[in-house]
Amino acid sequence: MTASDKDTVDLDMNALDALFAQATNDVGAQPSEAFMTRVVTDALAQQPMPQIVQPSLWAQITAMVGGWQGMGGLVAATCAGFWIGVNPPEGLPTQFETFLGSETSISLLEDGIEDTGMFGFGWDMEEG
Amino acid sequence: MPLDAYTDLADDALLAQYSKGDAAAARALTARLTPRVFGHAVRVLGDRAEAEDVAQDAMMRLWKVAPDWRMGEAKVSTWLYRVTANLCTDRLRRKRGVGLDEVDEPHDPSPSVTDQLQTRERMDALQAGLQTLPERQRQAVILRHIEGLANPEIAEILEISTEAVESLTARGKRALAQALAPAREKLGYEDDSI
Repeated sequence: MTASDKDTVDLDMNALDALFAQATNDVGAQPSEAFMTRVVTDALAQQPMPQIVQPSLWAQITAMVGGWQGMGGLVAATCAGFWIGVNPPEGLPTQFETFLGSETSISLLEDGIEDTGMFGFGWDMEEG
Repeated sequence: MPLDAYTDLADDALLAQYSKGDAAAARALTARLTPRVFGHAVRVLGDRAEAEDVAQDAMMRLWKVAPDWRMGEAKVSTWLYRVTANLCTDRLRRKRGVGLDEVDEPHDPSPSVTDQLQTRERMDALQAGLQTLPERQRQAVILRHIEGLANPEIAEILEISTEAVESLTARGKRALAQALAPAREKLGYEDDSI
């Protein structure tokens, strides 16, 4: 076979497959470190910022009173207070009675004026 | 998340992590996908600088689309190969008319040692042979025989039927064997021994 004959013979398919296999692992087709760094820089520049989730108003209130434990205590105290208000235990003056106490003193003052005739303004006038 | 955990994550899961602001996911995706994108571009274009431009552009498109990526709908690597293939096609169309001699051949960035010379020559000859193929044939041959993708995935990337891929790769391989015939002796294949 002459050199010109060889030139006309196609490359064997097995040889071509071997060439492909070599190409798959060819370092010449690998990107450089500098290029990889450029791509990472792009990636980080384009990356969305980590999202900061704003807690809801309810979550903020719950956190303020000490989480769900605090909120539980607050609810229990509210219920207890409400029940004591509706059905007070024996011997505990009711809210109405407490108010009546101050009203009584006003009533005594008015009664005093009527019964004794002593009234500060009138006494002052007599003195003068 | 520890770095080891990223190796087990699928590409789309990594992309979701990236969208949440995870910088390590950005690095992991870059390390995983950029060599594939660049490798395809450099073989199709035959020019490292142009391949870098194309690969950087393709990766940039991936970063931009990441927040809207729908998990499980498309394969990230297929999408990326398609973007790269289209960018390469655009470049080649713009370059049409430039002779093969003017197209740079890729070279090893590290200096070749004597026992690597033949490998380098073979790779350069393969690259030169690939450049003689029509653009679609070249893309199909590279994806099938060098990137090792399956025909249905190549069909998705090139947006053609699987039968068309089979035809392209078969014709491409025959044309490549013909193009490399003059270099058989130089490449050490004169007796078809590998």
